[in-house]
Amino acid sequence: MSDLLMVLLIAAAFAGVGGYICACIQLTHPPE
Amino acid sequence: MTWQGWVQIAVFAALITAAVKPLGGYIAGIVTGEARIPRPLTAIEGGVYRLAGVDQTREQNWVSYAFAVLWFHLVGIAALYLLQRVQNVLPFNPQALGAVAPDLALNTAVSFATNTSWQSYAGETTLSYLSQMAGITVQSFLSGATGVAIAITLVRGFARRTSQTVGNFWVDLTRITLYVLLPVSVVAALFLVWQGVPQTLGPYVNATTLEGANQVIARGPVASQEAIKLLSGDGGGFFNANSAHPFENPGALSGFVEILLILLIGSALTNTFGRMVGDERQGWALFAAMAVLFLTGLAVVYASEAAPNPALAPLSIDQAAGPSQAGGNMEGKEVRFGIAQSALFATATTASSDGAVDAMHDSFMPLSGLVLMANMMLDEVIVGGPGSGLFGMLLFVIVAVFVAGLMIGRTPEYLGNKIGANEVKMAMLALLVVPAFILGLPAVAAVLPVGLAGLSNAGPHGFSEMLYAYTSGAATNGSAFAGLNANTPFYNLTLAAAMFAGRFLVIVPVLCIAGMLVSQGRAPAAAGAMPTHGLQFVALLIGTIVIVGGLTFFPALALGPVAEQFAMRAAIAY
Repeated sequence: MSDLLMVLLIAAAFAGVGGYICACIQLTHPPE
Repeated sequence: MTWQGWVQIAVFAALITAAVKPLGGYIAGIVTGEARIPRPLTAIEGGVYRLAGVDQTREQNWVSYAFAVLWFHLVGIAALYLLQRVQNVLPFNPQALGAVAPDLALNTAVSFATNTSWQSYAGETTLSYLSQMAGITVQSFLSGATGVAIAITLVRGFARRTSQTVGNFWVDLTRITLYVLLPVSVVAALFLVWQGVPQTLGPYVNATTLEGANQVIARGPVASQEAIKLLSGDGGGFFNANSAHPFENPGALSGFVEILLILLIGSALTNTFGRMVGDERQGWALFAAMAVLFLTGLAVVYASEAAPNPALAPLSIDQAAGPSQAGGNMEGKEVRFGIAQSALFATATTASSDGAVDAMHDSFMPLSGLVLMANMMLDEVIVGGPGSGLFGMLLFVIVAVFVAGLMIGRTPEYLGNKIGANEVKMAMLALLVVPAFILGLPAVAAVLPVGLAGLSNAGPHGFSEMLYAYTSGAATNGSAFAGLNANTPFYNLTLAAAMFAGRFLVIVPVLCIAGMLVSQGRAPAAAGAMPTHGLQFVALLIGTIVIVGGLTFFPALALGPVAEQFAMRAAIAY
């Protein structure tokens, strides 16, 4: 287990939440 | 059970109920900006905004608010991770503790930033004073304040007539930290110091015992961490034994006050909600639902722990309560707290998102273990953590109102807000994401050798150890059942994933609902709308929580504590 792997995991997790926010917007406000 | 135990519980319930209105009103004043704050404190607040470049008059829509939360936590997790990795070369490390291993540092950083405080480590042998003070304690304040801030955005969603914004995250965070958490924490820390909790930067003490052996006695800046650990719903102890350690919780009085601190803000926020929506009865209805669920669970745990252990009956051991012994199941409990306070602490810490413990939950009777897990599985809405309990309860309110609307054939609405398909979609998303991790990850751990390697017990009790750990992580509780060796890369990383998902994948839909509610606006309640402040609604809400929770989790509970309870009756132990 290296620091680089942990940093990548953190970055991936936050990127995932960013995508999740976009999915919530899409789900509740679908494009016309 | 003893009458003294019931008196203690009754006094506790009376004190918490008495604090709801004044503290709830104070918090409402703080988050709406209507409270009168002394000038020196507002100067500090203004200085924080200038330093951070925040325009306090500018509010955010829900997406901006969500990304502000996200950035803030990204920085918080990175900072706490880094601090642990380099603590060996930083000051305030009198025991010369080494750097924390990467996977454990990641687990701990996520744990405290998400207000979970799951600890795969023993604090006194792992973290320097600097890591405890600047890392753990700081995150306890900030994660607790974030929870309250998120809840307040949802309350604004229900309360505002019409708007496109839900508040300003930086302002909410600063005001809740400065004016709510800090003052109460200072008073609580001083009380704990008076009770005997250490607050020092001096090194550990080498003592010679009466038998001539050398013993290292750990100490440190404990009181300052202890106070916010309880108040913020964080629960991460300075010592491995948490609030069972005499330096964290010296006696029955400190234990009683610690339980009050755990439930204080979560309870008061129901009144904050009532005031902000303009009808305090709405807040009391939520508080009543929480109280019924809490007292029911507490009665089961207290009765279960106070009853004689059937496995010991053939040995003719006296298990009755009397002047010289507490009776019942005292394994894993501290004599200075006894059965009633241990049951009260365990119920409060799992009903809230705190996760501090003053007894070993692994040693509780299976039926009690079931209640403790169920408290967390129900999304911790039974008071819950600061903020997370209120927004969790409001998610169930949306579902309950929707179900009621279907039953009576009217458009679902709550406090003049129409509850449409999008609101229900987001509420269900938030309510289903936690069970997905609570049930999915133990299923994976139960079939992998790396998962099974961490167990201390076989059979249903071993399964309960895994189920409890992931429940605690995904529900952002942080308490440990004990018995599970979780400091392995597998458990550190999977539990970090559970904690991360349990926090952020719930917060985002909650903010989305807040955004939708403020933009649709609030109209006067329609004639014939179902009243949401009476006994009928409280019963509907409780029914929704229990049925949704029961249907989701009963199969898993049947494999763990339910099976173990029957096995215990048949004199089978694991």
